[in-house]
Amino acid sequence: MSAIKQSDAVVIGAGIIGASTAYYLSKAGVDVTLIDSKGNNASSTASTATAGGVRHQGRIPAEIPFALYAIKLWTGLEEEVSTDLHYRQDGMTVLTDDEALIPGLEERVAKEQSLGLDIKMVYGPEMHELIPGLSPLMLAGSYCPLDGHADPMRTTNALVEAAKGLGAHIEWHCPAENLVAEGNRIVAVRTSKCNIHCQHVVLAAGAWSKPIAATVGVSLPIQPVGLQMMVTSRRPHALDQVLAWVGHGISLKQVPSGGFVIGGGWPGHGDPATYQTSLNPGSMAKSAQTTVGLFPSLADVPVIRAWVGIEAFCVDELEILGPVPGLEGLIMATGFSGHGFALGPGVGSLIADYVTAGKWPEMVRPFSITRFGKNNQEDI
Amino acid sequence: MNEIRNSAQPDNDLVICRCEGVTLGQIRTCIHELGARSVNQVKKLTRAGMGPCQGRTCAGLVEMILAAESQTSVGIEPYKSRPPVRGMLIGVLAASADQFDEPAGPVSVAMLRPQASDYPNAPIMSEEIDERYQTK
Repeated sequence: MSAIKQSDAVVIGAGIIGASTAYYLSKAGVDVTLIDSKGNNASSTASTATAGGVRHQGRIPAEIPFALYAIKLWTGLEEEVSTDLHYRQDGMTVLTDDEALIPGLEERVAKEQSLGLDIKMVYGPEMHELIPGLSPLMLAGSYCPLDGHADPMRTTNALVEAAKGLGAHIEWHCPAENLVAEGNRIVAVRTSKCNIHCQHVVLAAGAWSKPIAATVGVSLPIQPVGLQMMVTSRRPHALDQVLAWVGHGISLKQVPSGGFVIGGGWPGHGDPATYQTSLNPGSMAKSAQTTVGLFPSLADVPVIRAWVGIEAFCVDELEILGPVPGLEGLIMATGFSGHGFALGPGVGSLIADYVTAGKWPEMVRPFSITRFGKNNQEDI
Repeated sequence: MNEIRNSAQPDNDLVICRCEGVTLGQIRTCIHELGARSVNQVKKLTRAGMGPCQGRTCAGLVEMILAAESQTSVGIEPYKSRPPVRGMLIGVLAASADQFDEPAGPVSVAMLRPQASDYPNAPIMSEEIDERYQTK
């Protein structure tokens, strides 16, 4: 017989999204329990294999206002949680070496400017002066000075600790087994350790969300994808910005400790059921090839580690975020499809507003599960 | 093991991971205050074992510290060893790219697209939704 607990809100999943949500809920005075199937930073989740980019640009237009909101919260976050998150807002440039792709890039920049983003095109010598070390083949890029990066593991852990400091209950090694509904409302979360009675459940379990949602008849159109990362040994500081390359899989940055972190969406293998991951050597080689193509001097720097994390990709590559109409108390925050890290604080802050004041702003309505029709809900 | 557990806290300054400069005190904090129960958690929370030698020097020490501090040696899993095991120059790795057919390319992510509106499968990316949500 499992123990019975009580909490106003239960957050399932202690990655960046869940940790941030637990933090902002606690800050708003909500009694919250954060549960995770593993320990602190313990498994191969999306939050352990994100490249840590905190960027506005390159999102779909509908997500830009939300990114502006979320990244404003990053500005004061280190002070708020009293931790150095290695957050750097030194800009990001998305480059191209293909003349034919420049008009498309210019069109995107104009669109993003019209949405209020501080971004501009940079070309030729001006661009190469801005980014020393860039391949001479690069012709143009979209430069946003407000983009940046942070350390994912520091950030997630700091948010968990800050939530704990504000009174959140943290339950590690406590996998959610099913949600319990009575009529049209969620009343509890059943875990392997206990039943937690609650009024609100935030489902932030990434690739592990699907079977949990299914227990109350909600079908999430997400699938697990293993994403690979690489990091090099430390080198003297040589790169301020985050770099990406249109049409190529790379996001490149140098972290404060000196290593170059190389992401870019190269696939690895990962099985959510067993938490086992393995690397695809072809992804490592092709990722390395792309790296040298963008930033040639890195050819002489050794990769010391590569790893895989399992991310939830939604069918349209956009997050499923917000309340589920027809199932009172259930809030989705999953399926971020490789671009959720920067949004984390925004997600947490908005969910705290929703739980305490019932406010759910227009800017995040495009991400509702209702876009898939009728809640994507089957009869329970 | 007992030696470490029983030794006075002044040894907190002892460097355990030389590559990343992680001390015994930091590892103890990670175990007692952050609740780490595996060497891989200690690694992710402190960076012990993440440097150029990839834990070859400190892995055994961290396992021993974890066993001593948590007073159990049962179920302590070793560090996950991450390829390429020994540092490998990016240029060398890059030169092998043509030997691989798979994967054909990266997973589709936003950054790869020249235009942000170029989402082939997105049901909500119609002009109507654009008008409703993106401008105001």
